[in-house]
Amino acid sequence: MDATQLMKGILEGCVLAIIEKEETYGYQILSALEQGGFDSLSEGTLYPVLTRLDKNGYISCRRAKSPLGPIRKYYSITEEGRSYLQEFKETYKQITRQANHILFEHTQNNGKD
Amino acid sequence: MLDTISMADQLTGNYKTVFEKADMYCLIEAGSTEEAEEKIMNLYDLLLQAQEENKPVEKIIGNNLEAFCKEYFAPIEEAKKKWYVFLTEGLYRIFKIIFICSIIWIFPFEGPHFGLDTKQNISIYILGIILGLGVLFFSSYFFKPLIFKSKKIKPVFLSFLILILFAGGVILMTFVSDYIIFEVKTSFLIVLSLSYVLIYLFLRSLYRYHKFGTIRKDSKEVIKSKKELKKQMKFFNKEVSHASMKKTIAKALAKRFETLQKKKQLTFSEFADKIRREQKQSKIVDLLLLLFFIAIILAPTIMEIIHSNLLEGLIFGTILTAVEVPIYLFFTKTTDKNYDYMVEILESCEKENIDLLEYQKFIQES
Repeated sequence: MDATQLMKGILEGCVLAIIEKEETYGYQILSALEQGGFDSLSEGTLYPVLTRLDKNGYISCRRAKSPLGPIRKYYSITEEGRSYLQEFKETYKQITRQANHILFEHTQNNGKD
Repeated sequence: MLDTISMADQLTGNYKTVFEKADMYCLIEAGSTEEAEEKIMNLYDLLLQAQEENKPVEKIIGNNLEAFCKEYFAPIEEAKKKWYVFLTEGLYRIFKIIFICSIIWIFPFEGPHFGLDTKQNISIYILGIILGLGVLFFSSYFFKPLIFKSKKIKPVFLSFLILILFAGGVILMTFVSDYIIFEVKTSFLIVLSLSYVLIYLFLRSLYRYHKFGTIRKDSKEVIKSKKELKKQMKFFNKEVSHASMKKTIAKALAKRFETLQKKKQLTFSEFADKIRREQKQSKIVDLLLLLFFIAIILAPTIMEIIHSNLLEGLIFGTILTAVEVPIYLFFTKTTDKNYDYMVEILESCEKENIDLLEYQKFIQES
């Protein structure tokens, strides 16, 4: 199964959770995702996620010069983003609980029977 | 417009290759729009940071550059796919050119209607459209896939090919247009083009007002933020070009010193003095050139005032100044700056007590 498709759905929440901690930028988000296990993720996937979050008003961005010279976009979470993240976390918990039940516990019980 | 050549110059190895290829892909797909420039800047920032931390380029773009470019630039491609936007905007641009050309065309004719009753051969416009579409088609379907086909094909080479194709097309177009005659009355062309331009602008304003609350392209906040970005980009361009120039000049200076050393057994301080002397000489030449340019503007202007009248003479002088000042600036600024860079590099070497090769390494690392 293509893991990327499954990941895309939850990526939005994960990116938002990283931005919630502190104001951050693309490279740092990519590194944080990589450390969290999303090691096959590239900027090609991340950039549209950030654009979507920005368009929906969940994050705001400011442009400033980076220490190496280029103009960098720094992202921070908005109030709307915070409540969306909260909502996302609850929905995620609920879905994974249900999925875990069907995918693992239910199958184990069937095996015992 | 971003100075992507100087930007690429700050990257090395795979980082540079990836940046150049992505830049070429973006240029073919989107041209130099604000959105495209922002994406290129973002990619540059990531690659520069990755290079700094010795992070493999694959961690940024994945293992397939072509797939990355498709995904990364997808929103721009999607916007381009809206055929009605492409068509209406394209026609707006063409009719704008036709209107301006027609207005210029009618004025040299004398009489109450100027050249409104004359006829114009519109084959040049039709061939221009065909050429534009042809270059777009070739770039998109033949050149774009070539970017990723081989490591040996450099994006610069492809840019050059596109330029040759376009220049060849323009030459052929002017030649062919003399043989294909489609004559249309100038007054009709003016009415048609002006009507289209006005209707297009009116409908666009209505759409924008409905969408953004203003007839301008974006909302006030977005316009403000874009202005700020433009300012930042301009400053960045200046800085990155400066860094790139310094790098190139340091390389050329080191080569020159090496050659002179072999011939004359020149010491470094003697070489530095020689460059300083050359800088002074170049300033004297600049001054003479300035006097020469003033003379070639003033003399004909005065002659024109004497032969006709003050107003015509002043208009003539202004036009002459507008044409000649950029030529003067082009001749002086580049050489002047080059010497300034050379002296700056040599002074840094003397201050740090390093030679030119060490300096090159130092700026490469910094």
